[in-house]
Amino acid sequence: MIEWFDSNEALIQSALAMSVLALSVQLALHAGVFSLAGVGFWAIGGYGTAKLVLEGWSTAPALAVMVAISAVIALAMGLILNRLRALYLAMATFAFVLIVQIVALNWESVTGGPVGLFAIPVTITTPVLVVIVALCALGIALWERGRSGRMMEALREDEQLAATVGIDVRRRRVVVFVVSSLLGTVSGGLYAMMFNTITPDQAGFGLITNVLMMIVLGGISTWWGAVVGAFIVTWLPEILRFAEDYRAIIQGAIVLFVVVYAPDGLVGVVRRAGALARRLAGRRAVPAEVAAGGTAE
Amino acid sequence: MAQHLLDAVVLGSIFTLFALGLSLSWGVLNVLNLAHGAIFLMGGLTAYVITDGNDLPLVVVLPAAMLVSGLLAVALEVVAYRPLRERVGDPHKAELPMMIASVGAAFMFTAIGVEITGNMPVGVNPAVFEVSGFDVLGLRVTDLEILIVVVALVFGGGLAWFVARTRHGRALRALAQDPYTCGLLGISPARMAFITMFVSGAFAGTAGVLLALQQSAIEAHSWEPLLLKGFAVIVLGGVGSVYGTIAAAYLLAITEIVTVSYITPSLRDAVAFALILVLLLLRPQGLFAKTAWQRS
Amino acid sequence: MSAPILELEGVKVWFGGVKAVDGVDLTLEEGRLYGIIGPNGSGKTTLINAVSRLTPLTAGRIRFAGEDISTAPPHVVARMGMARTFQAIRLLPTLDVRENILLGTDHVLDGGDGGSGRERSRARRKRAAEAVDEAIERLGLQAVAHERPGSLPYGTQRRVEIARAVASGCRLLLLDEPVAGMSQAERDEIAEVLRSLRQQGLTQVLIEHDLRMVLKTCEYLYVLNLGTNLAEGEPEQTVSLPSVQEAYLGRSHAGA
Repeated sequence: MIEWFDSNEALIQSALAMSVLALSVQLALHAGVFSLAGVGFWAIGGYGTAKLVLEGWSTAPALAVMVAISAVIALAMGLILNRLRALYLAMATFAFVLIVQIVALNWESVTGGPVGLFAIPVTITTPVLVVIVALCALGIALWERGRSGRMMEALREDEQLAATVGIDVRRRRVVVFVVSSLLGTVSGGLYAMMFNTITPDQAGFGLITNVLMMIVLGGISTWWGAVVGAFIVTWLPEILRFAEDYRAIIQGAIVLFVVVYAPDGLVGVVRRAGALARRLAGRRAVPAEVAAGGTAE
Repeated sequence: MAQHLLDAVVLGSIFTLFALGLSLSWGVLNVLNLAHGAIFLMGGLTAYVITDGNDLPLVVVLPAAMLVSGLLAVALEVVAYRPLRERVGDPHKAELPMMIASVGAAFMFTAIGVEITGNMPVGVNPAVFEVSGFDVLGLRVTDLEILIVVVALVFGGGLAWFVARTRHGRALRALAQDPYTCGLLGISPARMAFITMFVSGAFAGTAGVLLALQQSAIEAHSWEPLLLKGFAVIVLGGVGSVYGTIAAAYLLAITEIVTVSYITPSLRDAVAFALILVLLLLRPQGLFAKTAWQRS
Repeated sequence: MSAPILELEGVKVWFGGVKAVDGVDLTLEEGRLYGIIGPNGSGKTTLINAVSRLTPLTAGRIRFAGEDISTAPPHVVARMGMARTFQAIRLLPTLDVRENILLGTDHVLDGGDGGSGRERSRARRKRAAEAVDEAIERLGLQAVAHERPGSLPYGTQRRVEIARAVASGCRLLLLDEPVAGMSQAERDEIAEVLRSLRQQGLTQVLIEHDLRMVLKTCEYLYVLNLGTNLAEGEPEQTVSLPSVQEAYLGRSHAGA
């Protein structure tokens, strides 16, 4: 068992770091905020943390500083972009991600240009990584349930209704935007601290694609779906190794298929299997609130 | 400087073709088709593949590429977008899943592209179009460049005419507003959706072939910056306005060429992205607000 | 004689060239059940949207419990004690009935003033749970409390919406055509609910087309036509006014 962990450590670490990014986008989408900005902040957090660590900073302070800087940027962005909805917001944040990538590609003096940053010392251990990721996941899990969970449902499903039950829609959306962005920063920071290099091509369209795949495969509606999805997508190249050159084609096809026919991803499949099993066992179907993962208080 | 203008006109023509296709899928069918860029790629790759070892003229290659791209777009409609719209019901709620599906498709098509190209730039058989250059008013122009501009304007004009003057065009506009109205014109919304997607894909494929010839190379990821530029163009020009899109395409091209020539080449793509951001904030309905798809 | 809970003075709502509401005055006293009627296009829904602040005013003033809310955002007004329902049923499909009702309390109830943050939070949850239980009881929703709204009959869904408003402890409830599309039995069901809420002292404003329902439940009517006041008064009398009849008949003749 230990051997498996050792030989797969890089994959596990990568999956863990990516979980946080997946959470970032899942959170935003769950609350109806179509923001992909977290991916841009992944680059900001990754590069920023890398630079700090190269200067000799240690884990916690480096992350803390990057989170603080990102918070300021994200707040400004969130306020400015707040009037945009749905696909328009998605597009704007998409543009932001690509702009960040271009900056990373061109600002050679700071980011190392196309070559990126390298020889970044490893400043984080897997246990610490697990703790940080677990804290993030816990935070999101708590936020997405109970009263705040209901608020997110309302924000996503029916903004007008949300306003008429007393939800300050504008403010809540900004908060979600900022937290989502900060999760991206953390994810990038963790990544930089685990691996020795970071390059601009890691942080563009490809990363957006990967994160969306994670959410789709794991299941859009729950936080743990995002984490599961992160692990699946990280492991997919391994799992599909038999397919060699056709891996990416199969991966794309899987995503297409899942989005259309199994919208709640793996989580949905598991849930439905569970419900089916219960029915087959002759018991009554579980009440809605429990099946929904406990959003009631 | 005039040479730059020429480059801008050629670039703008490519943008026009690409963006018009995107405008169709978004403006009419409400799908943020992120696979549009990959379909553009497949158009160029079709040209590459069928002429690999065969000398086929453009007059054969272009329709072939248009057919393939058009069919790929229709396939997406059949396999993903339509089932999603039906399952989700509410057209607005379907937008996100459709976008994600298009991402999966883009991933797939790009991977196929990587397979075909061996992840290296490849060139289309030059025999497809014998490029000859000549001097006009002191500027260097090639007949390919003239062709590109002509194709863009003809296709763009043709689309405008189609939308404004034909029954199917009216159905398309009706579909943009509401599928039921479309049905009232005697054309099923489903069929209109197929036609729309086919044309959308065909335009992308056309752009793909022409750009592949112009640059003498295709690379599996070359569509990525173009995709967002396409969105910049339609946001700038107003989703659904054919003339607005055309104007915006040339405007963006000029801006890009100016940036590359007089400011710095590395900000080439950033121009479009910054433009999107600014526009979305200031005037999301575009510079030319009247949307042709919705004009009665 | 209580102070007016809602006052509208010269309220206008124009959308570009369309003058949906063009000068409406209302004075509503607390505890009564009002009706707003008028032919199609008379601006009733726009008026409700303006009062609940989903739509900005072009001119005029709105006062809620004495406070000027003419420019307040909708969530502020909700927290002041105004609740509303929409023409379409608007419940959250992913939550069950109980959670939907809880949503009504989430942002308008607080945990009082004393104690620590945690104590206040607990007090809030307790108050909310009690309010929800009471609302479920009052609206007869015990049997479906854990169902998702999508599977429930229309009339029941509407009752859930009303329960959501009731649980919020609102002082004013605006209902925009609550029985549109319902069977007669369901309409009677809702009428009964509104009457019982009236007995408990809740101020309600009912916008309706169904004149039978209006006559059965409302104590005072305002009639709107072409975006402005046409008539007001005791329901039976008001409805038989020649000007009111003409407004309705004239409209239906034109097939609007």
